[in-house]
Amino acid sequence: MIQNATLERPTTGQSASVEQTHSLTQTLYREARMLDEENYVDWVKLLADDLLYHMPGIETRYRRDKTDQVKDLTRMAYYNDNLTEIKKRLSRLETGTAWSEDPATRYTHIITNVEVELTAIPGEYQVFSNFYAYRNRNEREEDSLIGNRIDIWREVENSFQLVMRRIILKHNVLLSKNLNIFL
Amino acid sequence: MDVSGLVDTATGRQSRAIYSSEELYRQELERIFGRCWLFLVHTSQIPEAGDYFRTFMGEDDVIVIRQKDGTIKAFLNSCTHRGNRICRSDRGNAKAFTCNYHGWSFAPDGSLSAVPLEKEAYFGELDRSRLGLVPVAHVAEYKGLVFGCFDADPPSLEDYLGDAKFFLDVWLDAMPGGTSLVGETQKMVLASNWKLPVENVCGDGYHLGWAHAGAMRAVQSLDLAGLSVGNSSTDLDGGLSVAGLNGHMALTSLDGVSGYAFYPKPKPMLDYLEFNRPQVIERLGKVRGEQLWGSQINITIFPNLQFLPGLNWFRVYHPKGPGQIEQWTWAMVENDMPAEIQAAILDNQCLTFGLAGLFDNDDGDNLAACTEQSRGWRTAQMDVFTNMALNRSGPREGFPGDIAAGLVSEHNQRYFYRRWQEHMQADNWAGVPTYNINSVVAEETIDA
Repeated sequence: MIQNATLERPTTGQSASVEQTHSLTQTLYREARMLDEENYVDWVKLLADDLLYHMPGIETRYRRDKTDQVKDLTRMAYYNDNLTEIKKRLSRLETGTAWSEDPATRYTHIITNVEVELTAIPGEYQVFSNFYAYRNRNEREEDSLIGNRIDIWREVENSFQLVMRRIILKHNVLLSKNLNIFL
Repeated sequence: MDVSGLVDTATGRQSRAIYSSEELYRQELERIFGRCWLFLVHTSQIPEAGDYFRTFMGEDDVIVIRQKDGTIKAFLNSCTHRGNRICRSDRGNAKAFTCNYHGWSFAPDGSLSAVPLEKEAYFGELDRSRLGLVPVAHVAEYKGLVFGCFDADPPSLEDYLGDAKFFLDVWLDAMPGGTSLVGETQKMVLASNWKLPVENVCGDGYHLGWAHAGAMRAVQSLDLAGLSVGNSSTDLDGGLSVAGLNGHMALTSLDGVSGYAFYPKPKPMLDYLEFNRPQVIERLGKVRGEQLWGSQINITIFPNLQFLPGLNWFRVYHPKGPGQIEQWTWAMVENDMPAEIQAAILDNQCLTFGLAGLFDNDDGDNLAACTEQSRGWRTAQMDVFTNMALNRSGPREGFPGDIAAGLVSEHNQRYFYRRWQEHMQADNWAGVPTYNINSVVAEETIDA
């Protein structure tokens, strides 16, 4: 996706209220459960029409190299998807001919370190979290993906929609054979 | 180890031992990765003096460095004192490479420029001139692609590539502005023998419609002649399997557009092709300008480099033992392409191939399982087969190589294993045959 948008929002630096924080934390947990259950029908409903889902690739560089490896959307990203592209990925599963997804991979998403901050846009919240995603497949294939997420969630009526998500994975060489997973 | 019985090119048979034997793997490191020209870097990845890029030749860690005079050198990434790795960054720019262990410092030309306590502790007796970084014996460039070779006396890179240059130029020399590899390196570990992905991409059009049926249904936007989702039909006129080029191969469709069949919005790319096709025909001739440029083409340079102009992924496989590889992928562009097309190519390459790519999800699983099923006591004694369309190849007007019709055939795989066997049997380059079957390069020369 050619993107002019960035994930950055002017933030107020202020924490959200206890109620708002609770609601969004529960939303993250619910989302994680949907992903564990491969309940993509409901998961897609959480995604805003103007979604940006971004996972940059991280190279190993010396500290003196000040290249912005995270925020620059023109660099290589494993995911740099809008809603249409996310749906395209999901449609592969729905064809019933994605043989490598059958038997299914078993997923557990653990979401921690949730912080909710207000942004300058009313009804939009910046949400920090960490994830530990465990995958197990076939008999003894397993791997762990661990990293940080920075989200923007938008309040829509009485629920929230994911507007932007940046996923910062800690791998240089991915120690497994694919990323058939949403984080 | 004698490998004469492990591969039979005439009947299309390989022993499964070649995917699992530790002994054969050590022999491959010596006779294939220690002997062949191996892809190091594209010149676009190290444009400035002092720019460096780390890669592997076989299992050897190598730094490739752009010199002050613009030439490119490559060295083992290992301190000549105690062997430590002297560079730990994937790429960057450096005036010197200083070892973390004792502080020995090497200049970009490999020379040992500084040693702490040289006078006080070595009493000035250290001969620094003999302790520079160990160079890769030969480094050479072909139109932006930089290769290295450990062998003392290899054929020239031009001779090594042979008539494969006919196909290389469809990317490297189609447009006057040249080419680049873009994007950071996508690296992934796969529990596969290194030959299996090479074999898969070099000639296996058979798996596309079946293994990737789900991905094709999800992202295909143009017809791809010669292939169908679900392998319900195949069109032998739609493409060519080209081999007999010194162990290199091309698998190509002939329509001039299908490289962009998996792009969600192919129109800007098709417009670019249409607009520029006359000058490409002028540069490369009608056969390549009309039938190959823009087509879906899989190009394989023996042993471990593969790239697909159109889909625009470029990949090397670094072996890590008989049952594991590191797969490194970049996106490829022509420098004359507008920035929006280049950006769309990088994004689409990541969507289709690479770590989170829809197609690679399918391949990784199959290649790992094929490797696993060659490790057992019983399975290691069994064979596997690449015997589709035996003895149905020949010359084709306007193209070099021994050619089988269609994208669905196992013609190219047989030549890949033939080359593997030729190298594994030979003690040195003198024992490795050179062949450019049905050469046409002379009559339709690349650089007019």
